[in-house]
Amino acid sequence: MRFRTFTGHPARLGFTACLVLVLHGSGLHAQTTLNPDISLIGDIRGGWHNDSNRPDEEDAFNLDLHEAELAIQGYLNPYARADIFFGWHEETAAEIEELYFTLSRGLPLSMAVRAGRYLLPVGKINQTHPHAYSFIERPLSNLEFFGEEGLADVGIELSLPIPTGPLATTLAASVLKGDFLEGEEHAHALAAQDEPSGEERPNERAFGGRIETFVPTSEYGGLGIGLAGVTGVPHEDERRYIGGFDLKYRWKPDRYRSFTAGAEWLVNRAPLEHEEEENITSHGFFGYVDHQFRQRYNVGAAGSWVQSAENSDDQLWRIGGFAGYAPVEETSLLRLLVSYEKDVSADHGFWSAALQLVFSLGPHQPHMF
Amino acid sequence: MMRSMGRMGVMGVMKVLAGVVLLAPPAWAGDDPVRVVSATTTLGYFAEQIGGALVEVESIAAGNRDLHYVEALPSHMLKLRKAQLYLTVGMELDMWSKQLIQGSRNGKLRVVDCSAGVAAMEVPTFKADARYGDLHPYGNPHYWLDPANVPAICRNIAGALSAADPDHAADYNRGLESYLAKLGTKVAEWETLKPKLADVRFVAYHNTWPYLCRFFGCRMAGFVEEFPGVAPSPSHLARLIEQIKGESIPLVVYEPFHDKRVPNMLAERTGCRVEMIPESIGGAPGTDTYEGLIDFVIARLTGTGGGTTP
Repeated sequence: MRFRTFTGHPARLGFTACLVLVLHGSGLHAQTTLNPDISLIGDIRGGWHNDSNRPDEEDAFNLDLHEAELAIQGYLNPYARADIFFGWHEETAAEIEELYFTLSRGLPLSMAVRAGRYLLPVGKINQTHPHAYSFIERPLSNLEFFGEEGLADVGIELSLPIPTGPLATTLAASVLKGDFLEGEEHAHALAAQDEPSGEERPNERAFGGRIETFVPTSEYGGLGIGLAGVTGVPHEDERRYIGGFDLKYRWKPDRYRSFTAGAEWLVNRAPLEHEEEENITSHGFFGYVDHQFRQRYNVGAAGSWVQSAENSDDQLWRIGGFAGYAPVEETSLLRLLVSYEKDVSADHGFWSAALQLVFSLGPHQPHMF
Repeated sequence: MMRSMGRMGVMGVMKVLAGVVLLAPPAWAGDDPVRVVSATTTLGYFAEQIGGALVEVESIAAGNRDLHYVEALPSHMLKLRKAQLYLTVGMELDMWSKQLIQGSRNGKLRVVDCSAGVAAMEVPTFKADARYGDLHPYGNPHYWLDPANVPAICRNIAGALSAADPDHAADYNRGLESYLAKLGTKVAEWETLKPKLADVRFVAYHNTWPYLCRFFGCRMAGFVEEFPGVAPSPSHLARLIEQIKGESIPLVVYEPFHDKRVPNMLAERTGCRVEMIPESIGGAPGTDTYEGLIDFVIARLTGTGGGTTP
């Protein structure tokens, strides 16, 4: 059974049913306490670039319904909850981005168990849905190693808080199905209900782990530090490793001001395609700062650098500045990004700009720190 | 050989981790004080008054915080993980408490909705959706600012403490009665000030004060926010300036976390007085107790300074 994506009649029916749920829910007097929280997020984008390597695009200006995300979240009972995120993109079919069950209370040693399909906790960015990026574009390192949709898989995760005094430290370990090892082309082949090309992946599980700690620096924020890795066997006698180290500092004393800075380093070690017994190790880095200086306004900058997963001599970097305007909290956001991207080995660079409108309908749970 | 050594290494690490975890004492071990975490300083103060030395109280939101918007930090969840009781405001004011409770992973945590038994004001009789801003569907949640609601809040807390620590139930009941008696004396003093407050009219930044106004008889004549929780538009502020001038409203009140530039602009344009008044204990100097907080509010509303009863 393929879990990731559905495109045929049943899939469309399922997605339509969810939309009907939302529309029906919004017509009621209020969402009752027995109903889950249902929300829909729309991400509409306009873009421009002067990349001479993309002459096939008729117009350097474009306007897209980039993504629609439907979230259904709620408690099943006092101990467990379920979170489901459907995604619809203009270029791909509707799919289940995440669907997981979490047992977070009642287990010994304050352990928690999560099972289902979820974004793997390699770095903070990968765990965050793109509509929440103040910097609009997915970092180059995440794109190169994880693909457009991020690194997600079906698995079971056990997490355990570690007593470390005033620091909130958690250790998590996952057993994964391993679909993420095959990359985005495989996933899209599944989405189109085609038979994926190439040799079949060995029937071996993948594994992941993460340790993270939170250092409170004041009443209003703190520093999060995380170290994570996943590994699995994409082909016979070949193993892929992905590692990540992330830092995030956030200070938010009230609704008028906040300052966030984050940095991530990723490393990807994978067998080189068509080259037996040869592995390639590539690195990527991303950093950003984001300053909310009024209730409605924020500005920031982001930069990323990555080595190609297939040839570490091929390198890309991108640097950009962004600004955001939120008239009313996060229910409607307008963001602008201007960036410059350069392919170092080809000595080719270009400018681009993106304008993003994000709206949120319904009670969408905020992302955790 | 290497594989075997690797396994030994993993086992060793697991043993060390298990040792660290098992050595940590559970929150409820021995005759230690009951660990209480409160969403707000005001609820924490009531718990301290009732429980005395039998409780150890920590609060999540400081007195100068906006209780609608508190970011759920892992350090907050850590506090709840070690707690036996969590006191929430309820009525969907501290929605962030849900994230803290979930993140605490504390299956033995007793969550106390302190609004239970309080008669809510301004409960919408229509579909209170986002077009009205952050309107609370269960009514205005700033109920602790009416001294007449404090007994109900305190009884909720005392009942939860007795349930969590039945051996000391009699002590908690004594603590409750003692505090309510002390509060009763103060309420009698406040009753004498009602005539002075009955004539007070003011523009509030947010709709924080209906319970307080009900008790003292003062009146909110308008709001800086056109919709609760939403920054005011220029057209709304223009109308508000006309209202303040037209009705000769003498006072604009904001809270410590509000953008004071807007009230100051209103004062410049209309000549009215501006006062910062906190809604929680500890939000300003001289508000370290509930009695001190209400005294402070009275003093600021009547224009007689802060911190002491006029």
